[in-house]
Amino acid sequence: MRRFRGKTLWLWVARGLLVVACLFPLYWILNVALSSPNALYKRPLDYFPNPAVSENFRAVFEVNQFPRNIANSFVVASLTTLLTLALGAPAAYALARLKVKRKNLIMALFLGIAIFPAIGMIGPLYLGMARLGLINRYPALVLPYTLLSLPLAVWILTHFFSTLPTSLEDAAMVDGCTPARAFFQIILPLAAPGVFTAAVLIFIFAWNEFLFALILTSTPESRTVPVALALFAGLHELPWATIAAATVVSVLPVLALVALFQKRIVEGLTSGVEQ
Amino acid sequence: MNARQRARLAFWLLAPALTFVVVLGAFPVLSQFALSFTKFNLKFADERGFAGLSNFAQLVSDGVFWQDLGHTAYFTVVSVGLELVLGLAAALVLNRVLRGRTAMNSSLMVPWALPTVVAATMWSLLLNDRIGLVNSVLERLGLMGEPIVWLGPRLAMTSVILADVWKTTPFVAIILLAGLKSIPNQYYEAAALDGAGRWAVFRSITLPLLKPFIAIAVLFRTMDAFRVFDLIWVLTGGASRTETLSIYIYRVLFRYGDLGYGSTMTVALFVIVFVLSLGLIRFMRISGETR
Repeated sequence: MRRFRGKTLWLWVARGLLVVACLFPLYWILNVALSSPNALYKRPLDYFPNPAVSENFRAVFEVNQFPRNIANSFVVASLTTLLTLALGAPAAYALARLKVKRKNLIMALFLGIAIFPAIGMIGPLYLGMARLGLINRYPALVLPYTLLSLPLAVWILTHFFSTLPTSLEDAAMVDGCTPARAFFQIILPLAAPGVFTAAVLIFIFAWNEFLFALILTSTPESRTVPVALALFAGLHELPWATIAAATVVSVLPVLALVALFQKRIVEGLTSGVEQ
Repeated sequence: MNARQRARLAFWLLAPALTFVVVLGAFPVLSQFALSFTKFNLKFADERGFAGLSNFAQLVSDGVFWQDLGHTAYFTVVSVGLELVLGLAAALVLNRVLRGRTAMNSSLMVPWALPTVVAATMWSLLLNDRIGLVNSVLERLGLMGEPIVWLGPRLAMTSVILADVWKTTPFVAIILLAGLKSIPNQYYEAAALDGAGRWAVFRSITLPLLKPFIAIAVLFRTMDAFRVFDLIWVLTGGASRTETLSIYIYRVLFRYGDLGYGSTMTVALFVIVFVLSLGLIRFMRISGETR
């Protein structure tokens, strides 16, 4: 009995440590965001906002186009998600269900894109986008993001499609359904959970992407949140309290996705790993 | 649906994605390969021309390249190693959790889901030598005389690795947790009947069966760690001996405008990552067969 209690205690300590380790940096940034800018220069530091203030958040929304940056991120991430799914879902269905010739070659093509260093793609993409006059506009980010998230989307969706029973399409076919209708009306609705999982992961990727956004946008109005955050420091003398507030605002969408769809994210990350 | 109909449907379903990947992806990738044999600096654009292997010769004798390759390899080996050990520990703990699993998983996913830029910003605030929380706590505990310069020349790489471990250990833990769950309970029951100790069970059941999952986690993490950019760019900008290959390539391409040599290094980085992943995949296959 004593041994059992000792075991449980050890587990509780380990759990606690894990949660604290994961969350305390987030807590600290929230604390700084809610404290007056001078609080950081106190010694020793206060571990709670003392007193709590909202001026940093007001500063975020009043200066530097930050609301515009948030809107940019939303548009870019949403369009990327839609485009990736529109291209990736049919491809994944074909790879999972129809005997595709040269399937390995196609998979290798996607894999190659996933392995190639992103830093190397940007130069040529920049020149191409510049020629098309797309720099600082949404397609300049949406198109490369779609390219980068397609391998992951195809991987996840192929896995999901191959778990659905084949008898469904066969039944639809017997009933005189065209293959295209079978896909849109029977398979796609059934694969909705998988499609949704892929959507969450793509959105998070696009919301967080930094390197392409850094190079393919050059004006404050066209920047996305990560770039705006990283360049905040350059504009002023490190206004840490404002940076902290901006950070808190910028992670809210991602935190909401994690809180709501944690199970799906885990599913998506581990899909296909189980073979 | 007969075979021909199937083939036609497959073609039309795959065509949009493949066209997209070829037009948008193959073009930059191939032009990198072409540029790597070219002398092309944006600042001296009129001197553009075929350069043969001279960029590769420059690479071989470029001390900075080799030094940064060393930084990159060190960063990759240490951070992926730590992430594996800590991720395994976290997965073992999570595997035992019955109540509060959702809350645990959610908090675990937070570091993974945050933008890398945000993670880096958080850590540069925590580790700041004058106003950082870490130094303040150390001072309060009486463990520190002079402020520790976490992002200075001596400790910067360690700090960068710490931030990376914080951000990506959850990913490794989630993959390994899926692995732990895939191990049939009978094995453990049989081992318990044989009176096997906990360590023996871990060594001869858990670890061997987990091997393919460990290999996948290491593969994904190694590929990412070798190309690390955002984290280091925000934390140190590549200063204090933390410059990795991606940061150096960024410098050559976008500061010096040297598209030729920058592309050569990109190709080199691609080849390294490609060979590394092939090696890991082969290792995975072998460990899968011996099962």
